[in-house]
Amino acid sequence: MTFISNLISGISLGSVYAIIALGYTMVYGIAKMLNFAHGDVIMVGAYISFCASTYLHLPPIVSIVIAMIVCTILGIVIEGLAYRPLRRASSLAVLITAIGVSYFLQNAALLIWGSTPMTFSSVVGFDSIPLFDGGLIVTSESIVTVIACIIIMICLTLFTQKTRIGKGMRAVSEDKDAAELMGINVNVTISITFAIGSALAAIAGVLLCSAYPILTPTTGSMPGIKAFTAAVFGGIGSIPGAMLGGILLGIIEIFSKSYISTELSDAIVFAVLILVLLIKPTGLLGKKMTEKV
Amino acid sequence: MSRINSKIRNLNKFTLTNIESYSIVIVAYIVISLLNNFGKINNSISGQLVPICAYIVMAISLNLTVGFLGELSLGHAGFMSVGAFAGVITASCLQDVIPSDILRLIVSIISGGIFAGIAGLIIGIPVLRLRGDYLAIVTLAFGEIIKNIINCLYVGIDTSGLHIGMTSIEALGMTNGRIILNGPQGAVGITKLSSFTAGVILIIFALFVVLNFVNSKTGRAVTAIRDNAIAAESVGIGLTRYKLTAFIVSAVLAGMAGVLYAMNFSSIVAKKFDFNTSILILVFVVLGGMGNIVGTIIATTVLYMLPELLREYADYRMLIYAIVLILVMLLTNSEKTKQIKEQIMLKLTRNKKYEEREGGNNV
Amino acid sequence: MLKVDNINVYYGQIHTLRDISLEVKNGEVVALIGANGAGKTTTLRTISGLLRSKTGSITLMDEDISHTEAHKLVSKGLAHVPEGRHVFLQMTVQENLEMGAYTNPSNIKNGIEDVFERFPRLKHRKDQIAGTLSGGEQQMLAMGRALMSKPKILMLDEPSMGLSPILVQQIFDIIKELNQAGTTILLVEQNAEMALRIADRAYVLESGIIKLSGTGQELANSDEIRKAYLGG
Repeated sequence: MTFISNLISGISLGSVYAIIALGYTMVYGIAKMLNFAHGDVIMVGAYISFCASTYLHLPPIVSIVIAMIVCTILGIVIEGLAYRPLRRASSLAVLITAIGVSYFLQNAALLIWGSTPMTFSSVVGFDSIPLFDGGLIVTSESIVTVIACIIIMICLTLFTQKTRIGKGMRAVSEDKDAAELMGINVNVTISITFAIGSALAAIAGVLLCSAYPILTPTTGSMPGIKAFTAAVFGGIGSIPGAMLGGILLGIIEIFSKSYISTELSDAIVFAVLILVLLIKPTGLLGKKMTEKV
Repeated sequence: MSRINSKIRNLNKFTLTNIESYSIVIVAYIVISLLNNFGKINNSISGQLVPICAYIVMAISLNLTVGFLGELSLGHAGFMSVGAFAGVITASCLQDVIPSDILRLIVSIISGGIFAGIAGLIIGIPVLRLRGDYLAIVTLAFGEIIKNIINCLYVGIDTSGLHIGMTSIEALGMTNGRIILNGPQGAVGITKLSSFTAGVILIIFALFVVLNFVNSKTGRAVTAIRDNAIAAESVGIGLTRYKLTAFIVSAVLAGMAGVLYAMNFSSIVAKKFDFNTSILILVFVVLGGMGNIVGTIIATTVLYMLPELLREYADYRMLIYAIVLILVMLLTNSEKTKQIKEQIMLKLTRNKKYEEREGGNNV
Repeated sequence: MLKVDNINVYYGQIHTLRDISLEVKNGEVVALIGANGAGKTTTLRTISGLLRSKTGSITLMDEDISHTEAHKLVSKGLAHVPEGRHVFLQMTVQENLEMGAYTNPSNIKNGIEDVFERFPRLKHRKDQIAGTLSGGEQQMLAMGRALMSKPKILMLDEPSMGLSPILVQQIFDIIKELNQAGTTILLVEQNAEMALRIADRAYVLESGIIKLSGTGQELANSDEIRKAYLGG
């Protein structure tokens, strides 16, 4: 029974990673950059939702929508101000800028909300479900998180496969110049990608803090790094890859926490990542890239 | 003929930067020591002198991986950590064997360097098979793994020797003796051995190693790899071997910096050497101008001191730091500033060409 | 139709195009020939807005497009088949063609029919990923994709590159057909012989400078061209 219960919490945590990883993977796919600030957008989303429900007493769903709107705008502004001017700069320069943005968001949050941890109250309105006469309790947060993750995954897949803008996005991520020659506005397409990624980050933030209710300005950074790892693990640039990577990562983390060692769980997660990358350097579902001379 | 001339010019330019690098460090050392002796430097700054030296060594060594090799490493603090704790353990073990503080510090630094070098070898072999962002993420992962493992490490010493465990102090089964490393609480009861002088000597050593490495046959091979990996491979430069050498040298220096850093405090925890520290050092290297050692030293000093200098703005200082970082990156790398730079360069080279042509006519 | 007047383009500090002027009149096939690195591709990329000229102007149907963003030119009637084809390798043939009509989605259905009529081979490969096509098929796809926007002027960058002589002949036949159907063509080629055969007029580019220009026939008969580009 503990095995199943661990599996469920693993999948649930993994679903949060998957939602964050989707944002990473889309941005990486299209802008070829590691957006280190993505983790901090999660934190901003959680704070906004927290404030909306605590101070304005708005219902959870409204506060989530507000958080998504704020994060979407934030994502577009970050991309436009900090990343767009560096479109043709070295990837290292972009990375350092992203780190700068990450510092900025963390410290701005520190000034606004202070360093005292806030206790996030869950946005999920119904009770946990006991199964097998209480032998197995499935938390309501787990259920909502997993369902949210599945819905997001399906929507994103449909969006990129079926819609005009989604297909344009794939075209831009494959070949910017050719896409531009097709009449696709590359800058706008990249902005849309950041917007979607950031809206997802807001959802992830709320779900993460509903399950692990301590909220501080650095709440987003570690899940951010791990979700990024998950994206790489699954094959960066691939939507199903991000999903698979996220969920596997969550399961590995929870299992190593309960069966091996709490302190070493992160080390185990990262060790598995390294193993996967050494065996399959483009991740589980990644496409093979050949470098042209 | 002109080719030989330009070679000589390059050589001169190189030795010039070498001399420049050393002399900047030495002059800075003399000035700061003098000021310190006359009590002109306040305590908060003089307390930062050894950490600054350690970070400068870190930045010089990371410059080898990032600047010269062109590979992005996000786990450099991991090597610093390995070195720091290996050094602390060594110093503690030798406390009764080597009474001389200076000698013990030297032995510890060497020991830290060796252990970090071994870590560099173990990590470098798999990591250097990867490219670009994948390499970056794996170095990040290794850095986190090192942090986690050291965080669970318990080391003690008694009359029967060194005890190492991963569960708790009690599990080491020591009756009496000293605890050196206490899991998440880190290394405790460190005898402070580091000094500003030791730090400056280590910087000069690091400079010596890196500058010679860069200018050696191996180093030129490394530069070739950075500029074009496929081309370098096709003319027969064994990629992995050279990369690995550079990576290990970089790790050894980072380990030494770690010892210097740790020996400046009475206790130190593994969490100190996390991802953020790796990033911090990377920022020093990038803002210093990758591959530019003098720039790296200056950037490290300025950026390390910046939060200190902004202390009066207390809460805002890290925010200002972040904004400065973003602005510097935008100003140095964006399309627009590049265009302006290109235009200036174009004008300059035009003038130069003109002058050269004129000179040619005279001969 | 298209007029390029006195453009100068730099890559960093390298001056790649020097005072280039050329004109393509309505209904013409104009060839731009020259050796590797002469600046042919740069010229096309500058016309389509991917690169910027420091001087001069580019006019498309009496409208100055020197500062127009690349993605806005498609709806103005300019299509560019880039060197090396640059089809979207991970998308299907059908999706690639859809991308060609990105600015005008209502055109997708009959546009695709037209393309399949002209390139029947693509029809059989409709749902295949473009990366699995042969070089010749990819070239056809790239041309088909460009035709999806119903361009008034089509710029082709080395359509014969890497193709077998039979395929080259086919591609050139298609270019001719397109021209007869009313599309103006600006053709960049290293295969000077083939290009001059179908071109009304041609320009010879050498190290970023226009060295010669004239009708296709004139150039094909000129000694200088024969020596340098047509193998004696």
